[in-house]
Amino acid sequence: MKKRYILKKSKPEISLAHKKFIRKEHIKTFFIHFFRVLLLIFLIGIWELAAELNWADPFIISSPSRIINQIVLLYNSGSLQTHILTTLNETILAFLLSTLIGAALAIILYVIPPLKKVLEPYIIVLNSLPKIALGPLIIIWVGIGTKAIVTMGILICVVIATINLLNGYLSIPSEKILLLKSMGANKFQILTKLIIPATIPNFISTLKINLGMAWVGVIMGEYLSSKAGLGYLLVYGGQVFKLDLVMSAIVILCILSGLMYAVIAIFEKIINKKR
Amino acid sequence: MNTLLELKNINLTYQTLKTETEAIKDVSFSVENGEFISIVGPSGCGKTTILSMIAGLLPPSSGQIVIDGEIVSKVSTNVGYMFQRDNLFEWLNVYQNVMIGPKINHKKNCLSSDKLKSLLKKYGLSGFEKARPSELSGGMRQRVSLIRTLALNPKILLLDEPFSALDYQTRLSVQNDIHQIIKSEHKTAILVTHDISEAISMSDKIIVLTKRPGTIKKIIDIDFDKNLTPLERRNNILFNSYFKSLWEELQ
Repeated sequence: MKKRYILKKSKPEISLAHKKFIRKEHIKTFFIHFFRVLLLIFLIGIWELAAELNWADPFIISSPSRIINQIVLLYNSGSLQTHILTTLNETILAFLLSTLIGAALAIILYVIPPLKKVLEPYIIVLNSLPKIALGPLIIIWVGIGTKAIVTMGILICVVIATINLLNGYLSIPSEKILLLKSMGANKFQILTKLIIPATIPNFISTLKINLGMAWVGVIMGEYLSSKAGLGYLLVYGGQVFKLDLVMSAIVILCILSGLMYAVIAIFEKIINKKR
Repeated sequence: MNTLLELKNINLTYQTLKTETEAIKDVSFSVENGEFISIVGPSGCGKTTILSMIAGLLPPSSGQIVIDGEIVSKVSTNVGYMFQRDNLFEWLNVYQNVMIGPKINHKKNCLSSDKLKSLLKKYGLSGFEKARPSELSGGMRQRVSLIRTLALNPKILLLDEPFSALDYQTRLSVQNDIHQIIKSEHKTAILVTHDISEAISMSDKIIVLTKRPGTIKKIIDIDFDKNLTPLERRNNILFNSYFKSLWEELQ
């Protein structure tokens, strides 16, 4: 056993068969990336061609070049930055606040089981309630603009975040809890020494879900009431039948949500290295 | 030798909405300092329940448990508990795992970190202090688990089928290791098992329980040469006769 451990640390000689295997795997991953890019280029090409040759009305389907023009136009007028920053700001705020509130609620419900039992039916109803139904209330209670949008984002995220985190806490084997109890640990120590570190993978997957939900909530909030933001562009573009604008907003949303997901993925890698 | 642990007329009844179940009925026995006791019996006879009560995790319905002159009323570091699974924390390295108990108790009445390091070294884990549990073999993990239990310097070790999750080969050698560690650290131990040979090869005394409600059916003294290891005991002539009498008790 000891020898194996040392071997693992030093680099062993690579056999010919192993080299072949590694090459094959590298080629496989290369082709996967290659076809991913190819598919994108192909789709964009077909789209452009369809608009260019009038297979479909470019007024209805827009086109990649029209979208780029539209984005450049927005950029030059200076409103692109405003719209992006507004939405990004709201999304990050909704994401962070809902994660914090969700984690706090999950911990409280975990530490006080009777409270969890009492609240269970309420949580179930809140979870299945379509949060958009609360739109009018939100506007009347917290006012229009950023506050309403962030509130909508939080409402959409927080119930699922709480349920996910709580389920993670409840999945810890009872034997491990009993072990700490037999060592004289109190509830707080069980939480900090076992429950929270053991559920970090679950926490990260909750972050990923929460991020997606925060985007949904914020765009929905912007549909409800907004003066700027990508959701505003979507609504406005639809109303004035400027589909180039709608498509541009969608493309920018795709890029932004992809980037934010990448940030969480990097965060996950750093955490996993430390564990 | 002096009596370290005493159970006096212990009863335990589990309550549920539908019914109440008598799990343990009038169990009394005592354990001397340095003794190794096994509790065997059919499954569901309340073996683990007895350990939970000794550990202070579960109060008996009636009766008294006394450790070193003190009545057990709550969890105390007098007692160390080892479970079926090693329950090592995967996100901590071996040394950090061993230090969990001392950290929880703010290092009061615990072994020093130097002493723990020397225990790790002594029992074949030197060079692995910084390794993750996933890098260890099943036997090594169980040894780390035992040293983690010893870190709180308990007077009594409770072993709840700690070998049952291991494969047969490993189990035999881990039984040897654990027995050696417990004896050389002069600890008192109570082992719960359903493996008759395991009980005979490790203990000084075997308590046989009846099926539910668990009562003591018989207490068998196991009398091998003091220096025999569990593996050597298995090859001793006496082993088979002990096995036979225990087998008959359990039928």
